[in-house]
Amino acid sequence: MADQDNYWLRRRISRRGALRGSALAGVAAASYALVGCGDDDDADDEATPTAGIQPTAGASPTTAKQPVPGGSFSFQMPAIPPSLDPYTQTSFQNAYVNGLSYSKLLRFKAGTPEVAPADNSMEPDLAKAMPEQKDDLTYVFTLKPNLKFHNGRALTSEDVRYAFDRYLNFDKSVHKTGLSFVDKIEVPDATTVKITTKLPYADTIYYLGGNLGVWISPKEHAESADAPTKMVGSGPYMHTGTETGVSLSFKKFADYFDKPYPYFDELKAFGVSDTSKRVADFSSKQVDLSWLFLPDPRDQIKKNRPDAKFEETQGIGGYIYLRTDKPPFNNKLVRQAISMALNRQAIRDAITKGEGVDEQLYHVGFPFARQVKDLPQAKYWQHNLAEAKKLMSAAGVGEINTTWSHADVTAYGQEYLDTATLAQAQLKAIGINITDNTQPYANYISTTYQGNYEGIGHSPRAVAYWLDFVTERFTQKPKRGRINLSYVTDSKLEDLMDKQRAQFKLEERLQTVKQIEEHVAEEQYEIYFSTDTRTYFWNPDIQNYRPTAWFPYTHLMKSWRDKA
Amino acid sequence: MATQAAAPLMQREVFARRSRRAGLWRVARSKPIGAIAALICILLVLVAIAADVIAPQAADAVDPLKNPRLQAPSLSHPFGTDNLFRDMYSRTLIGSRISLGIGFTSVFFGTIIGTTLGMVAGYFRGWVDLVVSRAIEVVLGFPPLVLAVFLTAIFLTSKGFSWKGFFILSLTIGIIIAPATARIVRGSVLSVRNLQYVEAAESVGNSPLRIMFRHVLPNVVAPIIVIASIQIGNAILAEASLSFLGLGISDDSHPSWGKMLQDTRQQWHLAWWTAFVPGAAISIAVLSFNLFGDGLRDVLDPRLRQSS
Repeated sequence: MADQDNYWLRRRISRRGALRGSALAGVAAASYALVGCGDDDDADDEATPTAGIQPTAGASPTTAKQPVPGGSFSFQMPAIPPSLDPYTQTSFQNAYVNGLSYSKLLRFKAGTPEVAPADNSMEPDLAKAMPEQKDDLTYVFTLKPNLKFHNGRALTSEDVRYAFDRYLNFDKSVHKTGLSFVDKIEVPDATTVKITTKLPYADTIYYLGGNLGVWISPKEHAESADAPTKMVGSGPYMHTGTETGVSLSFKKFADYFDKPYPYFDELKAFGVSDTSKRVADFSSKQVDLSWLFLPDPRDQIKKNRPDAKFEETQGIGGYIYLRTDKPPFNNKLVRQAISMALNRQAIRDAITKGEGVDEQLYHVGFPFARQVKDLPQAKYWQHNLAEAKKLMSAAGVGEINTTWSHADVTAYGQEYLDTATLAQAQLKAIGINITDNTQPYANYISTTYQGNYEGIGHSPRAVAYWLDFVTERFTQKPKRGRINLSYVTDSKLEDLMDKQRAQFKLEERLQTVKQIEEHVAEEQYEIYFSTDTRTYFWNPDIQNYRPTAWFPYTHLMKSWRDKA
Repeated sequence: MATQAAAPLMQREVFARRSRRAGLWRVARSKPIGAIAALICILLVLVAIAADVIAPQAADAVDPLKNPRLQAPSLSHPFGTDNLFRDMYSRTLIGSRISLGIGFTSVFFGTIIGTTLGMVAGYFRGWVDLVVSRAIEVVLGFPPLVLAVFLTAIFLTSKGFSWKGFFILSLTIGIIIAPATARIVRGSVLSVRNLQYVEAAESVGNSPLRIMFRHVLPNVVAPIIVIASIQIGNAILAEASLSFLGLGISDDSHPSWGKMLQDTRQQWHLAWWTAFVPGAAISIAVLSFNLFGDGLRDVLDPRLRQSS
């Protein structure tokens, strides 16, 4: 025993010895790093030449394989929504999972190979067919037979009426402005829903079927205490569990009305805000699908997973909004100066390997929208500090001290924060000193993104699926729209928005859209960054799946795993 | 006359100075690692103080022309550049202010709190010692980083640099490191408590407060200094961890080494220096203060001094 004690005493390393050893090891490692690594030859730091906007991806042939029901499927999204109540949430995070558990009257067609990712065509969801339109104000939907909620109760037209009413009138609803075009909902019988709009609204179909459309949740659940933490709808997947902040679990709804869907028995959605972790998880095959990778992580995954399928979709890099109802941003010259002080190419070089082009109000990837360089107001997108300073001087403002409010990294990723860092540094050059106000996402989405901010706000922007999205951004009617974050009061713009809203003929409408494009470009009510490329990756054995530019993930129900 | 009287005095002064220098040199020779660590610590402090002057650029200077993206270390950029066109050398120098500033301030708070608790527990003993010791053990029962995250999430409500945030973060880390100091001080006070001069001070009617500060504290200051110097390294590491997790007070114009790691973590696989530089800065600072504290302990420990 004494010998053993002596042995272990001899073998013990003193704390001092451990420190000395680690110091030597550290020096050795540093020497190795300095000598062995040298210059970084692997860094791909040459900007990819900007080839302009990628053409809107076309349709691909439909898979000829037979669906194979069963199995499970997992995917990642940037974060788990803080609340699951569709009436009180408008976040894109909610839209992803709403599409699994809830249904609407209509839904996007996109999500399978034969439909292009940015195709915003609608197909019936709860409705049997596209609505009958007797006139420009009336839409009559007939519901499919045998509709059921996850709690077993039948879904009738009364449930649709209830949902609309709650969206429009519930005091905590955040959808009132978006749906303000709806006048009344009538339900003459259990399978008929008649929607009458207040005025001719060319985007009725798109709005009702889109991300912000009316998700039907039964009254007994919507008004219960469980509404924020559980989803009970009529969608293809039943929400079975939540690991707070980590994941949501779903299982197939056996009584789903749209046979033969869904194919997977189980789904799991992981909320992973860290891009490096998403890269690592997909590279190590821990999830079947992950998305929204910018060029750097995209190239990493391509190297790690040459077998994976992928598709690049065009996204939008974000924009800033400003309090145009107060000095100094009520002055158009200041807003134009800000736009000219931004070096969008440098931001692209830093964040997207130089890929992408300048963005304007209407996403430049749309076939009808003009590239920024083709706008008469293109000069405001050119990085020109001398001109920007002249504008500031002409505006009669000296140094500006203001706040820039935005969400933290968990919401929209490091690239969003990096854009803010770079832009803030660039604006310093024209005398705009910014105090950065980073907010937890839940704070940001409920305060700044509802208009409660001062100075400047910053947000990413999704590709809009309905042309009248501009109204939410800039209208003053009936009261400031939720997304009129720049507090715009512009009667000329209001008239143009009213006009295009009622133009059912696309060619006429696009003429009005052009006028809006130019007006907003001149006024710089919102200052846009660039497009960016977002890549989706999925496992090669997943069939009948294609990414979409839209948020709801209803289309996962049409995919299956090729067990062969 | 005055000159003649002054001469021996001056000679004594010179002799005393020479003796001190010789003594310091002897100590340095006997503890070379501690001496080198001390020099590095002094250098780090000087760099932190003069960072604004010696850094070639501002910490938040974004310049695509001057600072090409992700450029490897070179003569023009000794520590390379990061993904947002910033010079890492400047950011590392300026980052030392927050990293070391929080380190020192946390230790200051932690030492004050720990010393007070330790003295009270060790001097009064009995139920006071019981209560204080149990409280210390409760705090020590939590994993330090988890506790730090918890406390900063509650008390540090604003993001970005502010003096209020600096104070709160320092106090938070100070609270976490105080128990270690309290334990050391308590042990030392317990051993001093029963000495005769303390009893004598009590018997002549001195108040406990006077006895603690006039008679006990001077005799336990050596271990306090040692633990404080060692704790600086822990505090720097704690600040770096919190900044890396996004819970610190640093921002683009007031970076810290931990924040530099967080900002560039998606570039590490492309640019090794974006991880190496702030990581090495943290490692060197923590190691130096630890080794300095070790050396200081050897110097101040009378038993070790006698044996050497």
